[in-house]
Amino acid sequence: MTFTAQSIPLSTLTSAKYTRLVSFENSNSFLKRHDSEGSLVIAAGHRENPSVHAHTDDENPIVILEGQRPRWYGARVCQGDHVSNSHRSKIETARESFAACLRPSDDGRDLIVIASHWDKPALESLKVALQGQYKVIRNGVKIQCAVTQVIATMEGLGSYHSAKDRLKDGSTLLIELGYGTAEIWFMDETGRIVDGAPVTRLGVINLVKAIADDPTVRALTQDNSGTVNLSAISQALQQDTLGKVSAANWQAVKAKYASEFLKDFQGYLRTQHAFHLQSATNLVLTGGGAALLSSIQPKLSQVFIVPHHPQTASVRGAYERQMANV
Amino acid sequence: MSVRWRMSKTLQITVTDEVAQHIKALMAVTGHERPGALINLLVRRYGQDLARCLSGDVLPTQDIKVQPSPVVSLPTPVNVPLPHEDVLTSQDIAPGTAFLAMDFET
Repeated sequence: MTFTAQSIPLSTLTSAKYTRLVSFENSNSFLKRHDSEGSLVIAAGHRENPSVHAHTDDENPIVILEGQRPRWYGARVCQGDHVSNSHRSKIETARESFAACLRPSDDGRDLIVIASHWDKPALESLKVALQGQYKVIRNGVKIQCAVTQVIATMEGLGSYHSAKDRLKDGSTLLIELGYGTAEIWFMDETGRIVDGAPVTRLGVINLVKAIADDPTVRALTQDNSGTVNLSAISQALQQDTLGKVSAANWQAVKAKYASEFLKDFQGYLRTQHAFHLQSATNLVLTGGGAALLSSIQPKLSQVFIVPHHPQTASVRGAYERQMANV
Repeated sequence: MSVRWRMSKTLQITVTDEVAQHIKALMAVTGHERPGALINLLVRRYGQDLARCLSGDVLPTQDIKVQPSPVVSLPTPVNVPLPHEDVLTSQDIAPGTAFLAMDFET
Protein backbone atom coordinates (compact mmCIF):
# COMPACT_ATOMS: atom_id res chain seq x y z
CA MET A 1 0.00 0.00 0.00
CA THR A 2 1.31 3.42 -0.92
CA PHE A 3 0.68 6.39 1.30
CA THR A 4 0.56 9.90 0.00
CA ALA A 5 1.00 12.88 2.23
CA GLN A 6 -2.72 13.47 2.12
CA SER A 7 -3.58 9.92 3.27
CA ILE A 8 -1.29 9.88 6.34
CA PRO A 9 -2.94 11.17 9.52
CA LEU A 10 -1.58 14.53 10.65
CA SER A 11 -0.57 13.11 14.03
CA THR A 12 1.67 10.58 12.30
CA LEU A 13 3.26 13.24 10.17
CA THR A 14 4.02 15.51 13.09
CA SER A 15 5.45 12.74 15.26
CA ALA A 16 7.71 11.43 12.50
CA LYS A 17 11.33 11.05 13.53
CA TYR A 18 13.88 13.22 11.82
CA THR A 19 17.53 14.02 12.11
CA ARG A 20 18.17 16.69 14.70
CA LEU A 21 20.93 19.27 14.87
CA VAL A 22 22.34 19.71 18.36
CA SER A 23 25.06 22.05 19.62
CA PHE A 24 27.03 20.74 22.59
CA GLU A 25 29.86 22.06 24.73
CA ASN A 26 31.56 19.90 27.31
CA SER A 27 33.12 21.88 30.11
CA ASN A 28 34.61 20.97 33.45
CA SER A 29 32.12 23.33 35.05
CA PHE A 30 28.94 23.25 32.97
CA LEU A 31 27.57 20.97 30.27
CA LYS A 32 25.74 23.02 27.65
CA ARG A 33 23.41 22.02 24.89
CA HIS A 34 21.29 24.00 22.45
CA ASP A 35 18.86 22.89 19.76
CA SER A 36 15.45 23.81 18.39
CA GLU A 37 13.93 23.30 21.85
CA GLY A 38 16.25 25.80 23.53
CA SER A 39 19.30 25.77 25.79
CA LEU A 40 20.13 23.36 28.58
CA VAL A 41 22.85 24.00 31.16
CA ILE A 42 23.85 21.36 33.72
CA ALA A 43 26.48 21.79 36.42
CA ALA A 44 29.13 19.22 35.46
CA GLY A 45 29.64 17.45 38.78
CA HIS A 46 27.95 14.15 39.59
CA ARG A 47 27.37 11.66 42.40
CA GLU A 48 26.95 7.91 41.85
CA ASN A 49 24.02 5.93 43.25
CA PRO A 50 22.01 8.85 44.62
CA SER A 51 19.39 8.22 47.27
CA VAL A 52 15.70 7.86 46.46
CA HIS A 53 15.21 11.37 47.79
CA ALA A 54 17.29 12.92 45.04
CA HIS A 55 15.14 15.67 43.53
CA THR A 56 15.61 15.53 39.78
CA ASP A 57 14.68 17.80 36.93
CA ASP A 58 16.09 18.65 33.53
CA GLU A 59 19.05 20.52 35.01
CA ASN A 60 19.60 17.97 37.78
CA PRO A 61 19.08 14.63 36.02
CA ILE A 62 19.80 11.08 37.11
CA VAL A 63 21.42 9.38 34.14
CA ILE A 64 22.13 5.69 33.53
CA LEU A 65 24.36 5.20 30.51
CA GLU A 66 24.65 1.70 29.06
CA GLY A 67 24.79 -0.29 32.24
CA GLN A 68 26.80 2.20 34.29
CA ARG A 69 25.75 3.08 37.81
CA PRO A 70 23.17 5.84 38.06
CA ARG A 71 24.73 9.28 38.22
CA TRP A 72 23.04 12.36 39.54
CA TYR A 73 24.27 15.49 37.80
CA GLY A 74 23.67 19.17 38.42
CA ALA A 75 23.93 22.12 40.75
CA ARG A 76 22.21 20.33 43.66
CA VAL A 77 24.86 17.63 43.62
CA CYS A 78 27.65 20.17 43.37
CA GLN A 79 26.54 21.77 46.65
CA GLY A 80 27.84 18.69 48.45
CA ASP A 81 30.42 15.96 48.02
CA HIS A 82 30.61 15.15 44.31
CA VAL A 83 32.86 13.92 41.51
CA SER A 84 34.27 16.72 39.40
CA ASN A 85 35.27 16.38 35.76
CA SER A 86 38.21 18.69 36.23
CA HIS A 87 40.82 15.94 36.61
CA ARG A 88 39.81 14.24 33.33
CA SER A 89 40.18 15.37 29.74
CA LYS A 90 37.16 16.71 27.90
CA ILE A 91 37.61 14.00 25.29
CA GLU A 92 37.40 11.34 27.99
CA THR A 93 34.23 12.79 29.49
CA ALA A 94 32.57 13.86 26.23
CA ARG A 95 30.34 10.81 25.71
CA GLU A 96 29.00 10.57 29.27
CA SER A 97 28.53 14.33 29.46
CA PHE A 98 26.58 14.36 26.21
CA ALA A 99 24.45 11.46 27.47
CA ALA A 100 23.53 13.60 30.49
CA CYS A 101 22.26 16.27 28.11
CA LEU A 102 19.99 14.03 26.00
CA ARG A 103 16.31 14.93 25.81
CA PRO A 104 13.33 12.53 25.70
CA SER A 105 12.56 13.97 22.26
CA ASP A 106 15.93 12.64 21.02
CA ASP A 107 14.60 9.10 21.32
CA GLY A 108 14.71 7.29 18.00
CA ARG A 109 16.49 10.10 16.22
CA ASP A 110 19.80 10.51 14.44
CA LEU A 111 21.68 13.45 15.87
CA ILE A 112 24.17 15.70 14.12
CA VAL A 113 26.22 17.28 16.86
CA ILE A 114 28.18 20.51 16.64
CA ALA A 115 30.79 20.07 19.35
CA SER A 116 32.80 23.10 20.45
CA HIS A 117 36.25 22.77 21.97
CA TRP A 118 39.18 25.15 22.44
CA ASP A 119 41.91 22.63 21.57
CA LYS A 120 42.23 22.41 17.79
CA PRO A 121 44.41 19.25 17.67
CA ALA A 122 41.84 17.43 19.84
CA LEU A 123 38.87 18.09 17.55
CA GLU A 124 39.25 14.81 15.66
CA SER A 125 39.37 12.84 18.92
CA LEU A 126 36.25 14.66 20.06
CA LYS A 127 34.42 13.51 16.92
CA VAL A 128 35.34 9.88 17.59
CA ALA A 129 34.36 10.12 21.25
CA LEU A 130 30.87 11.46 20.56
CA GLN A 131 29.85 9.35 17.57
CA GLY A 132 27.82 6.20 17.93
CA GLN A 133 24.73 4.72 19.55
CA TYR A 134 23.41 5.95 22.92
CA LYS A 135 21.19 3.91 25.22
CA VAL A 136 20.35 6.05 28.19
CA ILE A 137 17.80 6.16 30.97
CA ARG A 138 17.46 9.78 32.02
CA ASN A 139 15.13 10.70 34.85
CA GLY A 140 13.43 7.34 34.27
CA VAL A 141 12.88 7.87 30.54
CA LYS A 142 14.53 5.56 28.03
CA ILE A 143 16.30 7.37 25.24
CA GLN A 144 17.91 5.57 22.32
CA CYS A 145 19.55 7.63 19.63
CA ALA A 146 22.58 7.75 17.41
CA VAL A 147 25.10 10.50 16.85
CA THR A 148 25.72 10.00 13.16
CA GLN A 149 27.89 13.02 12.52
CA VAL A 150 29.99 15.33 14.65
CA ILE A 151 30.97 18.78 13.42
CA ALA A 152 33.82 19.72 15.72
CA THR A 153 34.38 23.46 15.85
CA MET A 154 36.56 25.89 17.70
CA GLU A 155 35.16 27.55 20.77
CA GLY A 156 34.96 31.25 20.18
CA LEU A 157 33.29 30.98 16.79
CA GLY A 158 29.89 30.44 18.38
CA SER A 159 30.21 33.44 20.68
CA TYR A 160 31.45 35.51 17.77
CA HIS A 161 28.33 34.59 15.83
CA SER A 162 26.13 35.50 18.81
CA ALA A 163 27.64 38.98 18.91
CA LYS A 164 27.93 39.41 15.15
CA ASP A 165 24.99 41.76 14.72
CA ARG A 166 26.58 44.25 17.10
CA LEU A 167 30.12 44.18 15.71
CA LYS A 168 31.63 47.02 13.72
CA ASP A 169 33.72 46.30 10.64
CA GLY A 170 37.19 45.28 11.77
CA SER A 171 39.03 42.84 13.98
CA THR A 172 37.71 41.43 17.24
CA LEU A 173 39.21 40.43 20.55
CA LEU A 174 36.82 37.94 22.13
CA ILE A 175 37.19 36.83 25.73
CA GLU A 176 35.16 33.90 27.07
CA LEU A 177 35.26 34.00 30.84
CA GLY A 178 34.39 30.56 32.12
CA TYR A 179 34.38 29.21 35.66
CA GLY A 180 37.66 27.29 35.54
CA THR A 181 39.40 28.93 32.60
CA ALA A 182 39.02 31.73 30.14
CA GLU A 183 39.77 31.70 26.44
CA ILE A 184 41.07 34.65 24.53
CA TRP A 185 40.50 34.72 20.78
CA PHE A 186 41.64 37.15 18.14
CA MET A 187 39.51 37.27 15.02
CA ASP A 188 40.26 39.14 11.82
CA GLU A 189 37.67 41.23 10.03
CA THR A 190 36.19 38.12 8.41
CA GLY A 191 35.64 36.36 11.74
CA ARG A 192 38.48 33.90 11.24
CA ILE A 193 40.42 32.95 14.36
CA VAL A 194 44.01 34.08 13.91
CA ASP A 195 45.26 33.42 17.44
CA GLY A 196 44.01 32.38 20.83
CA ALA A 197 44.70 30.42 23.96
CA PRO A 198 43.10 29.30 27.22
CA VAL A 199 44.08 31.25 30.34
CA THR A 200 43.60 29.54 33.70
CA ARG A 201 44.39 32.69 35.65
CA LEU A 202 41.25 34.47 34.46
CA GLY A 203 38.68 31.81 35.40
CA VAL A 204 35.92 32.94 37.75
CA ILE A 205 37.13 30.33 40.25
CA ASN A 206 39.93 32.78 41.08
CA LEU A 207 37.34 35.34 42.14
CA VAL A 208 35.50 32.70 44.16
CA LYS A 209 38.70 31.64 45.96
CA ALA A 210 39.60 35.24 46.74
CA ILE A 211 36.19 35.77 48.33
CA ALA A 212 36.54 32.51 50.26
CA ASP A 213 39.80 33.84 51.72
CA ASP A 214 38.20 37.07 52.89
CA PRO A 215 38.46 37.10 56.70
CA THR A 216 34.81 38.15 57.18
CA VAL A 217 33.46 35.59 54.76
CA ARG A 218 35.64 32.90 56.26
CA ALA A 219 34.56 33.73 59.79
CA LEU A 220 30.89 33.58 58.87
CA THR A 221 30.81 30.62 56.51
CA GLN A 222 33.55 28.14 57.35
CA ASP A 223 32.67 24.76 58.82
CA ASN A 224 34.30 23.05 61.83
CA SER A 225 37.27 22.00 59.71
CA GLY A 226 37.85 25.58 58.58
CA THR A 227 36.64 24.88 55.06
CA VAL A 228 34.58 27.36 53.08
CA ASN A 229 32.26 25.81 50.49
CA LEU A 230 33.35 27.23 47.13
CA SER A 231 30.18 26.00 45.42
CA ALA A 232 28.09 27.96 47.88
CA ILE A 233 30.08 31.10 47.11
CA SER A 234 29.77 30.48 43.37
CA GLN A 235 26.01 30.26 43.65
CA ALA A 236 25.81 33.21 46.01
CA LEU A 237 27.64 35.37 43.46
CA GLN A 238 24.45 35.23 41.39
CA GLN A 239 22.31 36.03 44.41
CA ASP A 240 21.82 38.72 47.03
CA THR A 241 23.06 36.86 50.07
CA LEU A 242 25.57 34.30 51.27
CA GLY A 243 24.44 32.35 54.31
CA LYS A 244 24.20 34.69 57.25
CA VAL A 245 26.17 37.48 55.58
CA SER A 246 23.82 40.44 55.27
CA ALA A 247 22.79 41.59 51.80
CA ALA A 248 24.65 44.90 52.21
CA ASN A 249 27.86 43.23 53.35
CA TRP A 250 27.64 40.63 50.61
CA GLN A 251 27.24 43.33 47.95
CA ALA A 252 30.28 45.14 49.37
CA VAL A 253 32.34 41.93 49.38
CA LYS A 254 31.33 41.13 45.80
CA ALA A 255 32.15 44.65 44.62
CA LYS A 256 35.52 44.65 46.37
CA TYR A 257 36.73 41.34 44.97
CA ALA A 258 35.22 41.87 41.53
CA SER A 259 37.21 45.10 41.45
CA GLU A 260 40.40 43.20 42.36
CA PHE A 261 39.63 40.58 39.74
CA LEU A 262 39.07 43.22 37.05
CA LYS A 263 42.31 44.97 37.91
CA ASP A 264 44.12 41.65 37.51
CA PHE A 265 42.23 41.10 34.25
CA GLN A 266 43.32 44.54 33.05
CA GLY A 267 46.92 43.87 34.06
CA TYR A 268 46.99 40.54 32.29
CA LEU A 269 45.66 42.00 29.04
CA ARG A 270 48.01 44.99 29.30
CA THR A 271 51.09 42.83 29.71
CA GLN A 272 50.17 39.89 27.48
CA HIS A 273 47.91 41.22 24.74
CA ALA A 274 48.36 45.00 24.60
CA PHE A 275 48.70 45.10 20.83
CA HIS A 276 45.58 43.03 20.08
CA LEU A 277 43.65 44.81 22.81
CA GLN A 278 44.40 48.28 21.52
CA SER A 279 44.18 47.49 17.83
CA ALA A 280 40.94 45.51 17.89
CA THR A 281 37.86 47.34 16.64
CA ASN A 282 35.56 45.19 18.78
CA LEU A 283 35.88 43.75 22.25
CA VAL A 284 33.52 40.93 23.13
CA LEU A 285 33.13 39.56 26.64
CA THR A 286 31.12 36.38 27.01
CA GLY A 287 30.74 33.25 29.11
CA GLY A 288 29.27 32.93 32.59
CA GLY A 289 31.93 35.29 33.93
CA ALA A 290 30.72 38.02 31.59
CA ALA A 291 27.21 37.78 32.99
CA LEU A 292 28.54 37.92 36.53
CA LEU A 293 31.06 40.73 36.14
CA SER A 294 28.87 42.97 33.99
CA SER A 295 26.14 42.72 36.62
CA ILE A 296 28.55 43.75 39.39
CA GLN A 297 30.44 46.33 37.32
CA PRO A 298 28.03 47.81 34.71
CA LYS A 299 30.63 50.08 33.13
CA LEU A 300 32.20 47.06 31.46
CA SER A 301 29.40 47.29 28.91
CA GLN A 302 30.79 50.69 27.85
CA VAL A 303 33.74 49.00 26.19
CA PHE A 304 32.76 45.35 25.81
CA ILE A 305 29.98 43.88 23.71
CA VAL A 306 28.28 41.35 25.98
CA PRO A 307 25.98 38.99 24.05
CA HIS A 308 22.53 38.23 25.45
CA HIS A 309 22.66 35.32 27.91
CA PRO A 310 26.46 35.19 27.71
CA GLN A 311 26.77 31.87 29.54
CA THR A 312 25.14 30.07 26.61
CA ALA A 313 26.25 32.42 23.83
CA SER A 314 28.89 29.99 22.62
CA VAL A 315 26.68 26.91 22.33
CA ARG A 316 23.75 28.93 20.94
CA GLY A 317 25.94 30.77 18.48
CA ALA A 318 27.52 27.54 17.22
CA TYR A 319 24.03 26.20 16.54
CA GLU A 320 22.84 29.35 14.81
CA ARG A 321 26.06 29.60 12.82
CA GLN A 322 25.54 26.10 11.49
CA MET A 323 21.88 26.75 10.75
CA ALA A 324 22.90 29.87 8.82
CA ASN A 325 24.96 27.64 6.54
CA VAL A 326 22.07 25.33 5.78
CA MET B 1 67.37 66.64 26.10
CA SER B 2 65.13 66.35 23.11
CA VAL B 3 63.43 63.59 21.19
CA ARG B 4 63.30 63.42 17.43
CA TRP B 5 60.43 61.56 15.74
CA ARG B 6 60.14 60.85 12.08
CA MET B 7 56.65 61.77 10.95
CA SER B 8 56.87 60.89 7.28
CA LYS B 9 59.43 60.55 4.54
CA THR B 10 59.73 64.29 4.37
CA LEU B 11 59.20 65.54 7.89
CA GLN B 12 60.64 65.01 11.28
CA ILE B 13 59.86 66.69 14.55
CA THR B 14 62.06 67.51 17.48
CA VAL B 15 60.41 67.93 20.86
CA THR B 16 61.58 68.29 24.42
CA ASP B 17 61.34 65.33 26.78
CA GLU B 18 58.41 66.98 28.48
CA VAL B 19 56.48 67.31 25.25
CA ALA B 20 57.38 63.74 24.31
CA GLN B 21 55.78 62.57 27.54
CA HIS B 22 52.61 64.54 26.73
CA ILE B 23 52.48 63.06 23.25
CA LYS B 24 52.90 59.53 24.62
CA ALA B 25 50.13 60.13 27.13
CA LEU B 26 47.88 61.37 24.35
CA MET B 27 48.71 58.28 22.28
CA ALA B 28 47.46 56.12 25.12
CA VAL B 29 44.13 57.92 24.96
CA THR B 30 43.70 58.07 21.19
CA GLY B 31 45.03 54.61 20.47
CA HIS B 32 47.63 55.80 17.96
CA GLU B 33 50.52 53.36 17.77
CA ARG B 34 53.09 55.71 16.28
CA PRO B 35 53.80 59.23 17.50
CA GLY B 36 54.26 60.33 13.90
CA ALA B 37 50.68 59.45 13.00
CA LEU B 38 49.30 61.40 15.93
CA ILE B 39 51.62 64.38 15.48
CA ASN B 40 50.80 64.57 11.80
CA LEU B 41 47.17 64.80 12.71
CA LEU B 42 47.81 67.50 15.30
CA VAL B 43 50.10 69.52 13.09
CA ARG B 44 47.64 69.47 10.23
CA ARG B 45 44.91 70.59 12.56
CA TYR B 46 46.72 73.11 14.70
CA GLY B 47 49.99 73.88 13.03
CA GLN B 48 52.85 74.27 15.43
CA ASP B 49 50.62 75.37 18.24
CA LEU B 50 50.08 71.95 19.74
CA ALA B 51 49.29 73.31 23.16
CA ARG B 52 45.55 73.29 22.62
CA CYS B 53 45.62 69.64 21.70
CA LEU B 54 47.22 68.34 24.83
CA SER B 55 44.28 68.16 27.18
CA GLY B 56 44.61 71.77 28.22
CA ASP B 57 48.29 71.56 29.05
CA VAL B 58 49.86 74.78 27.78
CA LEU B 59 53.26 74.13 26.34
CA PRO B 60 55.84 76.75 25.47
CA THR B 61 55.90 76.97 21.71
CA GLN B 62 59.68 76.89 21.75
CA ASP B 63 59.46 73.33 23.06
CA ILE B 64 58.16 72.17 19.72
CA LYS B 65 60.11 72.46 16.55
CA VAL B 66 58.80 71.04 13.33
CA GLN B 67 61.42 71.03 10.64
CA PRO B 68 61.69 69.66 7.14
CA SER B 69 63.82 66.61 6.75
CA PRO B 70 67.32 67.44 5.63
CA VAL B 71 66.89 64.87 2.89
CA VAL B 72 63.92 66.35 1.11
CA SER B 73 62.68 69.84 1.72
CA LEU B 74 58.95 70.32 1.35
CA PRO B 75 56.66 72.87 2.94
CA THR B 76 55.22 71.84 6.24
CA PRO B 77 51.52 71.01 5.84
CA VAL B 78 49.89 73.44 8.23
CA ASN B 79 46.17 73.84 8.84
CA VAL B 80 45.16 71.42 6.13
CA PRO B 81 41.93 69.90 7.38
CA LEU B 82 41.42 66.22 6.71
CA PRO B 83 37.94 64.99 5.85
CA HIS B 84 37.47 62.73 8.83
CA GLU B 85 40.55 63.03 10.99
CA ASP B 86 40.69 66.66 11.91
CA VAL B 87 38.75 66.30 15.13
CA LEU B 88 39.49 63.75 17.81
CA THR B 89 36.41 62.47 19.59
CA SER B 90 35.74 59.72 22.06
CA GLN B 91 34.75 57.61 19.06
CA ASP B 92 38.41 57.55 18.03
CA ILE B 93 39.44 55.78 21.24
CA ALA B 94 39.91 52.05 20.75
CA PRO B 95 37.68 50.10 23.18
CA GLY B 96 40.74 48.24 24.47
CA THR B 97 42.47 51.52 25.27
CA ALA B 98 39.36 52.69 27.07
CA PHE B 99 39.27 49.45 29.05
CA LEU B 100 42.89 49.86 30.15
CA ALA B 101 42.09 53.37 31.31
CA MET B 102 39.13 52.26 33.42
CA ASP B 103 39.40 52.66 37.16
CA PHE B 104 37.95 49.75 39.09
CA GLU B 105 38.71 51.07 42.55
CA THR B 106 35.75 50.61 44.87
